[in-house]
Amino acid sequence: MEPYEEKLYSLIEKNNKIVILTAENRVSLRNLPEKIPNNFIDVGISEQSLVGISAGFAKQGYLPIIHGMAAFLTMRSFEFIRTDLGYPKLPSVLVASFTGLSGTANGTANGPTHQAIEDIALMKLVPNMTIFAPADIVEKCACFDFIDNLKGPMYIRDSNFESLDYNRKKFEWGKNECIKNGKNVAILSYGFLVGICLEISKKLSNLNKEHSLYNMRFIQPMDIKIVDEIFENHDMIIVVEDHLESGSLYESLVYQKDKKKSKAKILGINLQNNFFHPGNFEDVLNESGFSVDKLFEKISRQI
Amino acid sequence: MNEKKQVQVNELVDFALKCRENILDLSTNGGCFIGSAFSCIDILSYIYLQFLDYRKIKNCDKDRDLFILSKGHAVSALYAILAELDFFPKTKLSNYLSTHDDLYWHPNTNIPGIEFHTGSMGHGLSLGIGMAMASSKNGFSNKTVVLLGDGELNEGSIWESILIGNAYNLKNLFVIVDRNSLQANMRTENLIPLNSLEEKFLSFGWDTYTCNGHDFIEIDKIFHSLLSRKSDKPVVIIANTIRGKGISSFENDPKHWFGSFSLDEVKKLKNDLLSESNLEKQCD
Repeated sequence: MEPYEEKLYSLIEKNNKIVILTAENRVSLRNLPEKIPNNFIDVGISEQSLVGISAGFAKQGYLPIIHGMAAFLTMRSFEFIRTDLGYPKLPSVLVASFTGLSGTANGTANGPTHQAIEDIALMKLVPNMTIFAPADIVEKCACFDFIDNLKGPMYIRDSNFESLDYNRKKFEWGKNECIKNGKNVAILSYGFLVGICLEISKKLSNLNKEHSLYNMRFIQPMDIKIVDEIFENHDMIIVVEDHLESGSLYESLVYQKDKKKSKAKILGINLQNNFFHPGNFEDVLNESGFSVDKLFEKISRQI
Repeated sequence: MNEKKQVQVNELVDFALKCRENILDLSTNGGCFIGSAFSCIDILSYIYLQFLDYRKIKNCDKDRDLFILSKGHAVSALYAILAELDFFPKTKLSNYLSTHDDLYWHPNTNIPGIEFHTGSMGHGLSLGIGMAMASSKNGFSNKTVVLLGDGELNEGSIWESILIGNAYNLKNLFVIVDRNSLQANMRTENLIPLNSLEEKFLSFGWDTYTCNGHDFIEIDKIFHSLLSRKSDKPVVIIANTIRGKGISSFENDPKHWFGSFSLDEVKKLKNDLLSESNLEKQCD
């Protein structure tokens, strides 16, 4: 089994009230159905019913872990998420795959139908929703150690990437991570782009360019403590995300800046208001300005 | 349902009459979806008195029967039933639409006996499927009943869930369609025709029954036949009903989906209701 499958399997061994559901999206679950036949439900390609059924389970004291392709899970079933999970604060986990630019990461080249570039914006609108965007598989699995304490639904912006190699701090629920603590400029990101920002950070350090790097994995509720720290210690904040500008982390931080009356400048590097052109992953990164070289060029100009 | 218990038609008729009076009381001070409530009140009266174990529901037992009113706008019918069965004091009905209480146009879980805050069409069946699946997994022998409106069958999510109910052999799931042939403003067959509903459900693999949703003997025959059922399939009962049933000036009239009346009007309507009910008893 893959690490994520191992994680779910071990959770169910301990807690039989966990059920795994999917709308025929088995990319990260291929080996599970035969291992946990009584805790695995595939409803076919029907995201609305997937969420409704999950709410029924949650209402009966089960903890549903719900899988779907992000574009369909967040958009087609949005009202079910809002009304049936969000409003009644039903503990549940939505695991959305093919998010942002990572939609192209498994060798596919999904068209605009499959691009989830507004998922965070939508999930921010759901009352009582926690939004978590792990940087890699290690963080993704780590968050499942805390799901017994959920007080409402949680959205995981899954990118299903391999583990990143850096000196990571102990995972804390609701807390974002300062990967590198420097001065002047703070680079903020989440999801697989944290890996790219790590490479950029190394290049900047080699040039003795002072900066900080933050993994902003918990997007909602906002980790206010770390946001305060970022505004207090930096003049320039650069937010790198594969999401539309509208409803982005950048937008939330602009609001925070206004609220705190901070003089820091904020630069948003995001998809603005555009779909991206599908293709091979590296080509897409390059064309949309998120390759290491292109991002380095943009960021180093600010330092 | 107790196998040996004979259905007491008069009791059911009297109970449903009291519930209709309660609904009329709720049609003052802001109004309610009276036509929709009157079309399903007989079927609701039957299932609460004869099919569901409402005492367990009242006790919030873990293995209680589960009822979801998917056509949530008919909630005045449910308030009327729950008040008659002492889920809450009947005096609470006078708080209807007050912001100091929770009796408003759609169901919510602050009201004892209500499982889910429904109202948006097309949600209740998937919720019911999840609850029925959870009950099976718990090893409970309880029933999950979902009441759908026929207009609600326009929603694609309902047909997704009908496919899933069949795929998972949910024999503990019972769906009732309140087939009053009217949706908000239109006759169903003049807008998006549903006929033949029986054939549709049969072809989707459900055990399908049809009855007159105002005839307690017919309703009882179907529910009794379910006791000896050997099938693993979910059940649908298409209850042919009349919107506004009970007051002839309301019946089958799209204009009487919603009603808001003065106290004097309600008094007169209650007289109409009573005299029409007496007339019907004499005819029987």
